[in-house]
Amino acid sequence: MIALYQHRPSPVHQLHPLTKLAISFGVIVLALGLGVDWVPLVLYLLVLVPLSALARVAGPFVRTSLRILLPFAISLFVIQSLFFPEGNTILARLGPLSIKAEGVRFAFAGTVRILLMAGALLLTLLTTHPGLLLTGLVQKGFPPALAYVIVTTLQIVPQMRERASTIIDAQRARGLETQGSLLVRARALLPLIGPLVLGSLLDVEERSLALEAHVQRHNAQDQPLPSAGPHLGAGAQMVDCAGHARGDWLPAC
Amino acid sequence: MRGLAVDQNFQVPSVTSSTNALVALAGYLLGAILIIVGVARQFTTSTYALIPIAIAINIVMGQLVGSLGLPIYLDSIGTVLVGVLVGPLAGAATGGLANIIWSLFNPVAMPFAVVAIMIGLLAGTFAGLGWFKRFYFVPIAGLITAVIAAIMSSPLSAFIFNGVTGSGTDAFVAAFRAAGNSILAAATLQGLISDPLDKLLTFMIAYLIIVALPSRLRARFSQSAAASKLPQ
Repeated sequence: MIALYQHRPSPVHQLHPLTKLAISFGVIVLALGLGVDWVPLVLYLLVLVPLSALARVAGPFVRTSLRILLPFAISLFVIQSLFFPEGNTILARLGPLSIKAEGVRFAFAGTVRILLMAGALLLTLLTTHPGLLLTGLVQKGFPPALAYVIVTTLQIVPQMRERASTIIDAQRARGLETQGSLLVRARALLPLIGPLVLGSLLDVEERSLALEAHVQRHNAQDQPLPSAGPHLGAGAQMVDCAGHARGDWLPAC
Repeated sequence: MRGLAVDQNFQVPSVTSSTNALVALAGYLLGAILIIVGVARQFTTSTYALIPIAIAINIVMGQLVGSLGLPIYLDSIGTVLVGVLVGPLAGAATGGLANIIWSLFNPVAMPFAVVAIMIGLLAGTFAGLGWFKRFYFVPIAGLITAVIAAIMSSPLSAFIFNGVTGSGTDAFVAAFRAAGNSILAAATLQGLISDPLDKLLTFMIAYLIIVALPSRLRARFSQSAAASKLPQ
């Protein structure tokens, strides 16, 4: 599981992860700081989309940002254009409801702001391997123990998902219903939670014993981390190995 | 006079302008990062082994509940577990890191890291007060946590996301807006309606898991001070 990362040979991918992170947050600060409604949309179209094209991820970039935006956009336009008690300029009437200009403007401002924030961060996430991002952060003083936690979690989630689907299949074979009314589905949850959570927690002991043995051999804090160059850092390799060992889906790494 | 009234009304939307969004975003994000990095250096290896599993429990349970189409999230069971078993600071770190990992998949989750931190912190605090020794205190702890989490997350919804969450609970926002409430009030009331059931169930499930946990494992995580405050 390597999150949203798309492997491509591009100049954007070659940038240091923290440079990309700085660009992302810089664009967000610029867009929100100017305080003009349409600025986020302009920055998205004229800065972020061209950069994603340069990184050869324009397709996934636009698709993912629109997928994230859609639920917010629907809610914003439906709620704020129909129910905007502060507005007076009525554009159209739908029976007892009315669409107000101020509400539409407010919904537009919110929609483009969410589009820009999601897009700016997506640009970094799509072009930066999570392991490499963490290596870059650790080099700048991010606690290595926290980087360990993040990398390990990315490895465990697919394993636990597999465990969950095994448990669901087993319970279904014994007659558990996972479709139907709300009450039926809520009841289906109970025989899943116990085995999944307790089973996973039992793994913790093994994991912590391994970790203690490892820490005794060498103190992780003193280890120099490989530079974030064209080849992947230690964290990235850990994620990769986990993926390959299980024959998981992974773009060519 | 009528012209004046219109002018005043025009001022209201600008209360939630994008500059406010920037202030809210910067404050919440910076706070979250400082808390996560600040508490990180003091945990035992058992805790570091537990936190990734707890975060994975959050993610997988959240997806499972989502796939069953239930109107709750249950995406903080792991955070509450760590808070109760290890302590408030470990719970806070778990919540914050879970949110960072979640935002690797959906970046708009990132601003809410402080809310996740607060949930872990409160779960640990209530356990420290001995509230997890008795079953009937657990739902109360869940409800208090829900109220605080709702109040903390509403400025983010209001100022950054213009009042919506992008989920089914937005129907409440629509109802409160139709009744004439401000954006911030509607976002707060929405959280106060939709959070309590979720947090109540989350806390009760976490309690039942702790009761079912083998005592050997429980002893491994909990500091000796916390151990006496868990259900026997």
